[in-house]
Amino acid sequence: MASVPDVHGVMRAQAWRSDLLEVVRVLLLLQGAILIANTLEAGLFAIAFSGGLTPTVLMTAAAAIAVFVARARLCSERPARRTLYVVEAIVLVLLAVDTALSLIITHQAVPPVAVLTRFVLPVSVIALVGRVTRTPHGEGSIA
Amino acid sequence: MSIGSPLYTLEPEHGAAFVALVLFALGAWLFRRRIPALPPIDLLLAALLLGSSAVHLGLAIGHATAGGAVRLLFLADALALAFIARRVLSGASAGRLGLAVLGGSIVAYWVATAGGEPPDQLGLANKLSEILAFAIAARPATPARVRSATGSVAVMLLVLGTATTSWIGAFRASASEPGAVAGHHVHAGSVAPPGTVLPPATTREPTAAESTAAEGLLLATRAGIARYADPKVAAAAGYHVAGMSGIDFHANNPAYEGDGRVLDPARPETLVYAIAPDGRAVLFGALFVMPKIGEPGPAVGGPLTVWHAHQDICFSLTPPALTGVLSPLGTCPIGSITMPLTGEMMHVWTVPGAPQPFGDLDEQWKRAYLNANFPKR
Repeated sequence: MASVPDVHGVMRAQAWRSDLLEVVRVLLLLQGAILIANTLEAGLFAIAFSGGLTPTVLMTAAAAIAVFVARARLCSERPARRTLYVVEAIVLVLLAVDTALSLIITHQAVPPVAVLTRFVLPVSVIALVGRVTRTPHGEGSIA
Repeated sequence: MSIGSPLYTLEPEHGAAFVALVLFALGAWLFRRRIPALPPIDLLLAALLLGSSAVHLGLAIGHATAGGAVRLLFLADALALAFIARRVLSGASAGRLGLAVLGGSIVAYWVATAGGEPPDQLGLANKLSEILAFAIAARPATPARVRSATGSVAVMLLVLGTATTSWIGAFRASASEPGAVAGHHVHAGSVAPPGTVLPPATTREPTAAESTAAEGLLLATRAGIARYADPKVAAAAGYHVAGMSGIDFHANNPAYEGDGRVLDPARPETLVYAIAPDGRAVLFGALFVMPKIGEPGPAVGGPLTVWHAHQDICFSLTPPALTGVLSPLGTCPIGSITMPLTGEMMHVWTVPGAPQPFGDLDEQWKRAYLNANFPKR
């Protein structure tokens, strides 16, 4: 039988995990909305210049869906979190390539909004999801 | 000095707002021990509100050329955002007032940008942070599916609206420039459209020697590329004409792009075709590209022959193709990389009767020319 301090510890850990999950959910909502907007922009450009949908439009749409699915199933499914990590990793790798190109060609960093939406946002999501999964007593509800 | 789109830069009159934001961040760090113990989501909301308040305070100071009413609105927004942040820090919710102030601030940005105010990085970052604050404030206090879904849809619409009005603002600001008017000053101006780097607008007229040189370049190019009116001949010379479509198809020649020759009328780096209503490919002209990024093109015809470059354009790797221009949201489509800058380039339009032989060719004129000379059979 759990002692009183243990019960308090479990409750504190659950409250902490719940608070962090709330932050993750709003960050994922913003990221998903940005990916939807990006899909529409890419779709319009593809229709205007390529005459049809291109693989990048489909990949962006797939990333948006993956983010929203992960947001909905963050608490219950490990595969949803893994898919989310893959999407965030792709975003970060592409930003790394863009930053390298920008530094080499123009000797400047990428625009600040790109840093916010493609570095701060995904890194925050990865870090917070990681903290939530590592929180003691969290395996039962998050795994 | 060439000029890129303000969409990817910080406007000088937003400098004070940036300083205010940095000072706020510094102050928050210095007084971090006085920050009340609140759930992380509430601390994030308070930080976003106070950050936006600092930005609006800076905008009220920095917009020295704006009218008193505009500066007063910035100040009122700063005070309202600070008031809501104080409520959140005291443990209360942002409430409907919070949603109204944040929504009003975002819609005010839409009105300004859609009206032709060029958007910049500080404005966009500020709106994204306000949308995130709106997403937090719109969360239902207790699990409620309908309200949660409504809040999510509202956040998506706010992001879409911000992106759309930013595109409109960036293009409208550029379209109102004298360099955007069809004529010999085309492709110059102090506000470039997104994805383009332009030389500054010039008001001087070309000298007689420059006019003669420009005419010589046009005639030499017309003679040099005449044989490529047949796309099969162009293909045999190495131009990528496969998959030709639309009225602005650019067929590049990788061998000529890498040969180091500059402005060679017989070996332009790219040919421009249009597919006519009757289905045939019509050669409209050539695009000369400088071999190295950052190397200025020779100004043979002075203000008549101005060069431009492209910035922050998206290239797909699967398959290699142009997929757009860097979004106001800072993203290219997934699977694309951002090319920060291209080499300088210049169009020469050899098609008979072109209203302007250099720079941009009017889209409506192109269509009218094709319909008149190559009608649908």
